[in-house]
Amino acid sequence: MTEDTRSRAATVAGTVSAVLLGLVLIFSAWAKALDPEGFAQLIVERGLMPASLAFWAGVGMIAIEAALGIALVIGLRRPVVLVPAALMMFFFLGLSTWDYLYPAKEASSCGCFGNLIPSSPGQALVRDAVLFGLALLAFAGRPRQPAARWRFALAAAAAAAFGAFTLAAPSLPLDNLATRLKPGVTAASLRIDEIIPELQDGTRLVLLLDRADEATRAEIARVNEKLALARPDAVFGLARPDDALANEFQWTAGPAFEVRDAPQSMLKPFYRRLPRTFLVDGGTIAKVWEGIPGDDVLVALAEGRTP
Amino acid sequence: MSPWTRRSAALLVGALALVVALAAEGPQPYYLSGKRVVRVAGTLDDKARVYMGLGTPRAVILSPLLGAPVYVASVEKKAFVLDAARVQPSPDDPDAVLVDADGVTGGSPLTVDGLELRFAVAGKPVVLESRPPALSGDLTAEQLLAAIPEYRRNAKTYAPGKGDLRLLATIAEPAEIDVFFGTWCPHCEQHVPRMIKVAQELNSPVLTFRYHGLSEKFADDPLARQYQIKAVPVALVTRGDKLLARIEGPSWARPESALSAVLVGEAALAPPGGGS
Repeated sequence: MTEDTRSRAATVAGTVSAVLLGLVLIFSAWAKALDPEGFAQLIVERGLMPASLAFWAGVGMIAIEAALGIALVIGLRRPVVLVPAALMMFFFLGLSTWDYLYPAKEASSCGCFGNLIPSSPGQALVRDAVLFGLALLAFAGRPRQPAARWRFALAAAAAAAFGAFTLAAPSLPLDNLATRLKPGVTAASLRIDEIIPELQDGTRLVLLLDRADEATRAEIARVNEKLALARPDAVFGLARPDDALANEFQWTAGPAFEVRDAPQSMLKPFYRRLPRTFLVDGGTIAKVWEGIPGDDVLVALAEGRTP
Repeated sequence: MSPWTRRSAALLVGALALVVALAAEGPQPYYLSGKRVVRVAGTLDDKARVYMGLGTPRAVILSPLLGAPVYVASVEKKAFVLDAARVQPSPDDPDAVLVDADGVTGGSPLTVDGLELRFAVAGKPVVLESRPPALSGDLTAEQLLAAIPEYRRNAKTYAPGKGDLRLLATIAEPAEIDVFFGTWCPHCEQHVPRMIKVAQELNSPVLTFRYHGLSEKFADDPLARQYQIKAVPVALVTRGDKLLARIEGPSWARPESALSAVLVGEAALAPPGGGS
């Protein structure tokens, strides 16, 4: 193989790697931008930053990730782009390696995709190693010519657009896009049926709750009243485990339905904000509501009709 | 008063009486709980029996130290002393009482403090505390059913699929089913009694069911480590030294179905619900 052929092969490999890595970064930024509060929570849970800074640091990280992704896809393969991209992948690889070596940690969602795509520590380690490899290949095969200015402008515009979208996302109706809980998905694939095996058959409503939330507590009396005629196992609540809070919720909010504990790592990919409610029909998620559904839905369920 | 007015008044009174009759719930079943203890004026009342109602959280306490029955209601957030005649044994369930709490008045305020409910009865401070039974080690089904009313009730109300039971009854080769669980674990309370009921109904000479209670922090338990138990309940199905399957997660909804799938084979698996 001649020097020229080797150089051309490196350039092709670098271009392909850069585009692949760029697409992954854009998707990753998009996945996190859908639920910036959830991403901020992940940052805090990992102990990377205090809660007061996590949200804005998360927004900044998403914007940078998007800008790097766009830059790589449009061929802006300069060290100013490639070095931070490689460092970012190295950072994620470090987190994944830590999770792999110390798997006792409850969080199963690691790597760079926020809460949307949970993966096992082993899967995340392999994925992040491959991405880091792509970053190195992209660096090795970078072009020597100067880049056009419009590419810098486009990357900067992408960063601004993603930043703005991230800030707006919590108030946009994107929950079915941002979470794993959406109509058509089975309870088994979400592993909710391990907590509520009753979901495997029949029509049942499940409320994802924060037992400490006063607004949710205030709604419980309405739910009790409207569902008074329903079967006792027609409605379930799911909340993170806390024995004292559970007892306090039970006796002060007074739900007439059973609220079962589920690990936070299982629940978080199902919501951006609590409460969130879903209807399971024959083991498949049929409908999802943000908050607790209105009286018409509850009455329909109480009367044995599918809302 | 005209006949029309009298008829209207009679209709109105009749309608009101009907509304009152419909609004009154009448005696409701309350079920014995093994997960709550009662302290009266700081003394643990070993003889107290706590019964839980269905629907909105409410309890009835029968305690020799308190004398009269005490009704604790989450909706009213109060504890009421009931006339003894309002609490009657259930004719068809020794673990249940029928309680008529309609129209109770007065009551003392209820406060919730962590796992404890606090109120006063005749000037005595009373604490109703959530405390799941702590049974661990090798246990028999009889021991579990005797100690935990919730296990008795959940076993009693579970109806294993008859199709699966018939399949399991055809098994000739011995197998062991080791159930690892915790009496502190709410999911175990739902699911382990189902396996107990399956074992009772099968009464198989070749299938051996064993129950191993784990403590809440079981990560260091030698048995849990040996069998790599990460979550409970889990049932290990073995034949001799060979582990055939682990029954975990949603399989507990129909343990007889999971067992027949393992021991009889997927091809012979009965449909969900087990047929009849």
